[in-house]
Amino acid sequence: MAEKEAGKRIHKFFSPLRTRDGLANAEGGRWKEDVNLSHIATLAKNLDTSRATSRQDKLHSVPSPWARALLFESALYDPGHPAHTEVTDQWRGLLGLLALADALQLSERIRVENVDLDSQPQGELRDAFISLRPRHFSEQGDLEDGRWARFGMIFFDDILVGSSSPRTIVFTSISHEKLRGIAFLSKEGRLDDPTKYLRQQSPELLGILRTWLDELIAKVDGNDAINRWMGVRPADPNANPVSRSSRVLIALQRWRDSIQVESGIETLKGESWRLPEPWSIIEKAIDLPAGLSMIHNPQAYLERALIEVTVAPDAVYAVLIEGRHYLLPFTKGLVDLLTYDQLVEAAQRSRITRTDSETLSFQTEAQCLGRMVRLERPYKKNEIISNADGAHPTQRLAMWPDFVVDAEGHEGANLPRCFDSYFFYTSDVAAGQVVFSPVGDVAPPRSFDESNWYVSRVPIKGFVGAVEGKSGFLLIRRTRRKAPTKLWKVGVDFGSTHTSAFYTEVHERDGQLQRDPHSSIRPLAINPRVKILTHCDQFQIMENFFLWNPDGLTQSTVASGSGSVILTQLALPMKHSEKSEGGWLPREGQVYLASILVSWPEYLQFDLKWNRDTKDYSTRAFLRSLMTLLKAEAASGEASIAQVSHSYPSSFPKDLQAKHTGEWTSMISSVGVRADGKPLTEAVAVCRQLRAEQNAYPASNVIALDIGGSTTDLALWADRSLKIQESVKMAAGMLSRYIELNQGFRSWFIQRASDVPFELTRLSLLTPERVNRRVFHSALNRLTQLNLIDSFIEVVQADKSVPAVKGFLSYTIFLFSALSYFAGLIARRAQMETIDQYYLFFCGRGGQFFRWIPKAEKIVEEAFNAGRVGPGAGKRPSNVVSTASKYPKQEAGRGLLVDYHQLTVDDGRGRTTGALDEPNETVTAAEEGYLGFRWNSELTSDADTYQKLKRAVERPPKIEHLKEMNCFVKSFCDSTCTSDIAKNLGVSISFQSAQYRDVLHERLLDNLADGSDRALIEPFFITEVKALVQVLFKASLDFFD
Amino acid sequence: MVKNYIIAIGGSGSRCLAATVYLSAAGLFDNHLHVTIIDPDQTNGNAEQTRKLISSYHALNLCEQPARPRDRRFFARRSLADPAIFRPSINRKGETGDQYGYFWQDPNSPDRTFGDSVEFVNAPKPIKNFAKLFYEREDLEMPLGKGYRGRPNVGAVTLISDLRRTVGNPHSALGQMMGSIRADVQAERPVRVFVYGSVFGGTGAAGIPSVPRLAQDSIAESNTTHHEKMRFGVAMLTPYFTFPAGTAVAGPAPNSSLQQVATQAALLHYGHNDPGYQHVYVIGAPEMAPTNKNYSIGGESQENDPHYVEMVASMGARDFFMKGEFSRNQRFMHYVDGDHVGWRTLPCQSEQDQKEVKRKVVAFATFCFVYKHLLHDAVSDGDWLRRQAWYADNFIRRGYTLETSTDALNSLNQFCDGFLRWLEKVGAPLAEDSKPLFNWSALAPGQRAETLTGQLSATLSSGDPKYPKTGYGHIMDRLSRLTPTYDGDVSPMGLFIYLLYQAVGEFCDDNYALD
Repeated sequence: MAEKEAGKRIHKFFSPLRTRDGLANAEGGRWKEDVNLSHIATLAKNLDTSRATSRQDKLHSVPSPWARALLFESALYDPGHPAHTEVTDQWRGLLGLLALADALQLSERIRVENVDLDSQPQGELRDAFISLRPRHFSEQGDLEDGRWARFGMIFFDDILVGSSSPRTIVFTSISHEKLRGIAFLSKEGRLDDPTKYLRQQSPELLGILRTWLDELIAKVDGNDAINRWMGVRPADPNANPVSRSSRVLIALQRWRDSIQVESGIETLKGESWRLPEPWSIIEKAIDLPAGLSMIHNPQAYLERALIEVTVAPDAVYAVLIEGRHYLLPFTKGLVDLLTYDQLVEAAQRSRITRTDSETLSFQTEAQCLGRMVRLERPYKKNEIISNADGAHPTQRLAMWPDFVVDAEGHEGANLPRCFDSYFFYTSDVAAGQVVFSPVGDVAPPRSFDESNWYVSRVPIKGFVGAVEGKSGFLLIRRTRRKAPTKLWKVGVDFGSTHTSAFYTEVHERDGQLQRDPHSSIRPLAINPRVKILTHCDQFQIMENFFLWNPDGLTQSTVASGSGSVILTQLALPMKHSEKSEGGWLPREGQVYLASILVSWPEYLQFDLKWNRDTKDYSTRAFLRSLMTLLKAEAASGEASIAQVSHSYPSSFPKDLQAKHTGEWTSMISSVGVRADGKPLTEAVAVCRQLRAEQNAYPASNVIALDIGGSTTDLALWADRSLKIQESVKMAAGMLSRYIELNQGFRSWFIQRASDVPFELTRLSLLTPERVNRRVFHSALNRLTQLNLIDSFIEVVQADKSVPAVKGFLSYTIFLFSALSYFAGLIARRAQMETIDQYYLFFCGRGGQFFRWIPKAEKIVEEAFNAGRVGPGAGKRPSNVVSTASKYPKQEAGRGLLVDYHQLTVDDGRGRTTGALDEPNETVTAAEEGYLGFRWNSELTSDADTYQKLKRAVERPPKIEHLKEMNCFVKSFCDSTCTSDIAKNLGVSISFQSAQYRDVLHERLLDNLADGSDRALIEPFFITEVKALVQVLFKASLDFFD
Repeated sequence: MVKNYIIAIGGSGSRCLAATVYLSAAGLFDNHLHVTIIDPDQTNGNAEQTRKLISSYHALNLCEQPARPRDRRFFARRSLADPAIFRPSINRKGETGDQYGYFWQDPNSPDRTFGDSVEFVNAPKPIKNFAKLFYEREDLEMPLGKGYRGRPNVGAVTLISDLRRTVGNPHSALGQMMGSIRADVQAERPVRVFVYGSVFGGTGAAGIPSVPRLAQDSIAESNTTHHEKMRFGVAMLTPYFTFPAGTAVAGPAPNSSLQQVATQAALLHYGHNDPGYQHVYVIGAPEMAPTNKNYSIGGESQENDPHYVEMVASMGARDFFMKGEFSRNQRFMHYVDGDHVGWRTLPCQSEQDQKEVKRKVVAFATFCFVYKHLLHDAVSDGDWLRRQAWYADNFIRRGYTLETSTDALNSLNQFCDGFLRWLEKVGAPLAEDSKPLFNWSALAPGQRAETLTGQLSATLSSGDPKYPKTGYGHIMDRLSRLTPTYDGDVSPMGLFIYLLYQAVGEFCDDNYALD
């Protein structure tokens, strides 16, 4: 090392030093205490860097995105800096290029592109530059404030060569391409100090350069604007601050002095040769001194044509005369120059008058650079593009959502980032149309079927409309929402067919979210929020943004809460969309194009929850869109979403739980919504809601049956704790399938629902073939919204003798009986004997069919008691109270928002218990007769159990040995309430048939067909019931999928 | 309960934290510690070692040692020293045995590039162009999973953004640390945060300016008006080790030949741009010790040997935590001089403190040496134990047993082994020093441990130790005479640690004339 080689003292606690100058010695064994931090620069200069050989202008060691600009400052002003020579040469090279641009006839090849970081849309990159900009705090505040937003990027032949800088006036880009036709380049092809080239090649140009430098120095010297722009360098507390402009002055003078002009300079001064104005480049990047105007020809800011358009006048600003709308004739330059509010002011000040039969005159005033500028232009007939003959129709144009969030107040607000998903849509109508393209930082469009979708993170000003090579501007009339002042916690009940959301206000304290005690849990109604700017069909356009109940049966927000329910549906993966430029849409799409409930692709419903493939992005696609919708609703309510809580089916195995959690938590990176990393099972969420809002008392025997589209979650709750949770794949989807298979019921349904008092007139337009499950559920939703569902149920019960209705009710009763028997069996397994009273809550959308069943309480009680007592008999029946939930399909979503303390209950000894934490999910065998299993055996998904199950189902028991199923069938057939139905369905005969045995065997094998990892491990009893239903329906194996 | 906060950034930061854990075990830190390791290179070997070390330390910290011990052999009971080793807790949750997380979990994929992290593809064109002024293509395409590869200008952007994404999560290590700081601030307790990081590498250099900003923003967001009570210190490590030249498989690669010039540029930057710390400790070494035989851009293979610079950095943290009150507007740089690394040059608060440091470090090294090389096997033998007077007096008669403490004894053995290896490596670059901290070659003694116990270090006056050959016997003799009374409960392991350290400490005072 240098010190050692020189025989000098070794400093064991310093990296190799070149010298110790300027650094006082520390007392041995003590930290040096009184050295101001600014002396760290002295230590830096003393470091021995003699061994470094690499290109030092590309040092990356400054921990800032602004490293390049900051390195220029350190290196340019400090001859001891390792990069001083390299940086100085490049700095001179760039300034030299500007100085000699005219002389070398390069002016046309140089352009400056301004960028104002503050007005750019939010984004990681922009935000990083802003948040990590240099700061220099003093008693006057941050002295660097305002210096790091506006820059002029300098291009040569479209190659970015550098930029303006508040530290060194200009700096060069870190990467470079060789500049064609420039002589003063280093051997690496970088801009180099032109002095050494010009001295040999062109003393005359050297004279020009020197003159230019003289002028530049004169501009800098004592220039207050420059002084303010560049500021001062940090200094010791008692030292005088050093202005950066003085440092740059020294650098310029040093350069100027290095130029030994040999000829030419004196003669140049008197010539007509025009030296480039030193500030011609730089002034574009800094605040212009007062008095300078950029508008020399106001008329140039108005377009050369007036273009007629069809617009929604409430949604946009346009020019109206003689009953026709025209685009604002604002040029792109004017639109860029003015803020949105200034554009609105200009639009509002617009006047159009007819001067004569062939001429329209347009005038307006615009606030620009602190003063009002008048813009005026006449338009002759040949400059007016009319659509009177229909030759120039207006392209369809719409946006989503129908509001924007005000930017004011974002910063400093203790809230997550504001709404940042603005979508726009255009669609072609005919040749010759006025075509729109957005103005602002909008990702490249995604195109499909003559339509384009755009997205931007910040609200855009409007669209340029163009036809026949002429343009005009369509200014969006913004509906504004204030920046969020509230935080919402949102609970989402994510179902296979329907999804609903709820919210409550929260506060954040100590990093924890606490519910506002004055805020209740409310449904989060999702609105269409399409804003049509020109002309479109609202419902059609809505589908092209987000497929929001597209059948139009539930388009209005209602107080009943069912407005919070939307169809769970997916975007279709767009072919090759990942190759879309800019990649703003993930491959699955953000703008919806299809529903799961139409037939294609057929596996989407499965993919939503049950697909184990982690590369299946269906759920992520749906969630992204759902979160965007929820964010919009929150933003509309001037709120931000602090957290989204969610639940998963209790039957999820560990890998699906992990996939589910990953899918939700990844929302933070894609749409900026934070999901709870510890989701509950649906069963627990439902129980929490029952406890908190439906008076289910945890000391009782409570059984919740959450009947969804594909699964029924069963939770059993006794003695103040949740004892068992099970989930079976048998639910209300079975009834939907019945509807799709039974034309008679569909006809009856259309007839009744279209008739008074229900009058679902849109339904009457459909043929029975088009009434699929989605339409059926939407119609029921609509009836609920209209508070007519009770009346409709009365009609159902009145028509129970109508064959089609009787058939539907029979299957409904069979489903509820089977589930009730299973619930009783689970109660038997849990030995819930302390209180001889049971409360059954039928929850979820499917649970509402409980209300359709005549004598439902009695039927459920009998089936439940049959299951609870079991085939062995001996126990006396229990009292069973059953009811449909008062919050259909809201239980899980609301339960996610219940405060933990609401779940506790005093047990009489001063303690609180019953907080409803999760027991492990189990699968009960629920049948006797299978080899190696008892009715109360627990089925697991491990490899041993799988092998055991395979052996058991290869030779299933004889039908008469299926004790539980026999018990259920007997109970169902013998009951006075259901014997007629059993007879009507042919339950007993079917059960005894050879076909049933075959179907059961097939189902049992199918459950295990996909190997141990993907096997459907479900109670034997449930498989047996499904097999029986399959026989009764003469249906296929996938009837329950 | 006053807590001090330490954030270790990158591989060098992790190794400094390891030094702090060892010095805490030796009794050099008084207050409880809350630490977090920040390293986007999630499998970094250095960080992994430190994580294991913290876990091991925590287990030993939980062993309850005697409170207010008194020696009952004397007529007038004399006070014995309070327990000194394994005392400050590290990340302990209140009075529970649980521990807060101490490793920042990077929420990102290791394959993520810098371009991905800043969503370069989605940026508007003007911003893309603007970024190209500052970043090359290879920067944007650089995978971040192995740290920042000597590119703090990249790391400075992604790290603070990634940290902000986790700081609000109360389940993350960083979120828990900020929660604790927030609680301290709200209770108007002084909060001191010390950061370890190198300025010549990638991750540490990127993280150093990020921490004060992150912490202040995080606390300010909670609407407290007291965040001005926070104080920040940093150990900026300048070059002190080297590694073989190599080539990264993809993207930029660290280059040790550029360390000095990179450091110069970084320090010049800090000379003109306030990094946000009241006290900055600058530490390096004149000779670049090769601390890794292999070239590694990061990951498990990046396991560098410990170095004395890391111990000195840890002494910087200690100095920072021991300072009296100071203004938040202060900006001081600290460095230390010395032509060797010895007890007289190791930076301390005062001469008395210097003695105390030596006393504690020598005693703890001796404790580890005795336990590792001489006692561990014996203590694991119940027959041997029951024949020991100290065991009969303090354990059997009081109903305690060590025979069921196998796990804890093994933990202690591993910790002692780790400490001795660490100490040996710390001494490796100092082999030629004339006044060394330790007799480095004695730390791994082979078969002669009994005779080396008394000559692990030198006396303060540089004379010979008093019992150079018979140290082990003197320690066991002192141990046998210890039958203290004390308040409160103890665990058998805690009692054993206390007794052995008390005996070792008394011996060291005598042997090395440390009183």
